[in-house]
Amino acid sequence: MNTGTGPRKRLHATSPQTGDLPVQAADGVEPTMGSVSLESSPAVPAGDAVTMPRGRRFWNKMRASRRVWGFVAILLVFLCFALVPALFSTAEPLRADLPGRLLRPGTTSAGVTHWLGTDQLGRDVWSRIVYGSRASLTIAFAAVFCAGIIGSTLGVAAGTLRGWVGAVIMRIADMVLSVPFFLLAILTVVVLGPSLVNVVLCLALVRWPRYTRVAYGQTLEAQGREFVRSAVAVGSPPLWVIRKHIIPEVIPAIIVVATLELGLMVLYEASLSFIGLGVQPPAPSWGSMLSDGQQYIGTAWWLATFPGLALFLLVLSVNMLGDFVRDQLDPSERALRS
Amino acid sequence: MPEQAEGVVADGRSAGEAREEVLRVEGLSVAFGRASERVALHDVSLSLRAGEVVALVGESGCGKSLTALSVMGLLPPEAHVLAGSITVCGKEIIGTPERLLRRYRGSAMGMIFQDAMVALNPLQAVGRQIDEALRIHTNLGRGQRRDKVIALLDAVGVPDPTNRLRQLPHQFSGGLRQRIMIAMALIGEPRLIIADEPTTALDVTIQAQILEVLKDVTQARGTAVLFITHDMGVVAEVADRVVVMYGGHVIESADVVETFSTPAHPYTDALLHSVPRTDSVRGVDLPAIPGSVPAPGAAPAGCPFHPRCSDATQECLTMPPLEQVLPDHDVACWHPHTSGRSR
Repeated sequence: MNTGTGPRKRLHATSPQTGDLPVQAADGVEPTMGSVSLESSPAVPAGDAVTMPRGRRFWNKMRASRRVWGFVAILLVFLCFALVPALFSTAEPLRADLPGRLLRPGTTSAGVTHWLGTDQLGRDVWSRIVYGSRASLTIAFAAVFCAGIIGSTLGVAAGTLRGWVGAVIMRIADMVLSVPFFLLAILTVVVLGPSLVNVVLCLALVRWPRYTRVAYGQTLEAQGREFVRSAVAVGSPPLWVIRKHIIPEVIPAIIVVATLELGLMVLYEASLSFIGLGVQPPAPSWGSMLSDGQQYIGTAWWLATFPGLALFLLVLSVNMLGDFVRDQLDPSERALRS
Repeated sequence: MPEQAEGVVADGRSAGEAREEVLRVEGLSVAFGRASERVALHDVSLSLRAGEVVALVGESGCGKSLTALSVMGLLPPEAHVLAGSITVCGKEIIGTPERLLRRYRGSAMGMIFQDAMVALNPLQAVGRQIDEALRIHTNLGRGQRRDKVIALLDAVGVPDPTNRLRQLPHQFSGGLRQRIMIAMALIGEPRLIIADEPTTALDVTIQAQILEVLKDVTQARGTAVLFITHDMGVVAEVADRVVVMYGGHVIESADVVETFSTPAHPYTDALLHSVPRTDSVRGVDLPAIPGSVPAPGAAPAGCPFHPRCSDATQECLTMPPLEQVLPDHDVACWHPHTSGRSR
């Protein structure tokens, strides 16, 4: 079985296809790098790879992987959308035009070409997608940032203090992880009211234990390391040890988790908006566009299809980037190097 | 060494009186477990004078490292001191708050770890790691600290220190890394260095070089070295005095020449006989000590060595005190081998 599928994936991987499904991509990453490394090997001699600083190694690996660049490009496009939507949109995303409602993709009305059609109120779908990426990415990045800071601080604290304080922090983390996401989300939003800040708050409240567990494990590991003991033996105060020796050990793992979480946060924001707890209408959001569009799926397929596609592309590219980062900063690989 | 005059430690730093006592451990007992049921150190006493190298010898699990950690005030949380006192440069260690201990570590006593491969932070330039003790304990400027680090790296034999202090640990060989560890322990100019088997991870040639460096650097500064090892060859090379531990007891303490020529404790005697020698007879098995070291808590009553001892009698069921049998030669044994008996 495996021997049969192996060569076929290799073919896929060497051809410059960017839209590969993640299933294939997971296996395909290796062959791509293998085929590319031939041409990049003069620049990166194998012996040098060991003595190179981590940042440069990462950069070289990244340069060598064509597939990652495709996903980085997609992510950059969405980032541009979010930063300067006015540059990319063709119409005002909030302007309703009832006579021109539910227009097919490509039709022109009142001098404006609606490349992706219009919705049930005559608003341009393309422009709403462009503006919707702002809500998606802002919330996703803010949520990852907040959860990451809270989570890793608690994790490092639990790993350093251990004892009952550590136990309490870790058990609370377990408890939060055991509560279903939507239950907590609905509760938070109902109590605080739906708004952008509250959505970020709610996502951060739900996701911090992910970082806590990783940071806790890394802290414990780092503290068992001899160089931490030798730092203590020259009289370093605890906070110094944490800053100079523990945190640098924890950060790579946190970056990996954060990148992987970013895609999930985009999805969660869309889910919250889909059930009406996220971004409030008429502000454009992919989740609410999907939920509005599903009523018209039989008559106006473009309403739900294009926001869905945008969501799919963004989440896919963020996840692929996350996988790549994880492969590069993997502790097992770092152990081989040091 | 001009910088030796301005000391972190106040009392008697002048190079003239090199014989002042730097470390005194008295009647130290340490136990593990909630109810202190596993006693790992029994009434351990030893002392070091400035410039002296004392080897602490014994098999694994005899309490060497635990003694060292007690001196550093770095006992694991599950270990408790039952009794005794440790003074470094006249300052008590036992019962001293952590805040004060931190100030002593690195400036009064330093430690060289066994494996420089893992005892250096792989993500930090070695210069910064050596500098750490200076940044913590002194308020010297960046340039002054840098000069000190370079001078010390030069002293421990790291070539081209100005450029190499920017490199990461993995860019150094094992021997150089151990030299860096020595520099790291010495930078704060401690009066006492504890070297916990600093050469076991190195091959014999490098080992000899490192021992040489350690001896040179510490002697030049009048630093006392407590050298923990189980390698008798290393002991002969570096030590002025030998303290032999067994089962958590100090069983013999003597001058290095005397230890090798007339070991008085049967265990020391047997230990020395089990080391291969160039004049060993070919084809004859090396003598081995039967049995193994008792685990803490499972120690037999009386002298911990008596089950393995060929000279054991009924008397050995009570622990003999550490007594002087010859001038400057202490033994804890009811039947010490007196001179002439041994090799």
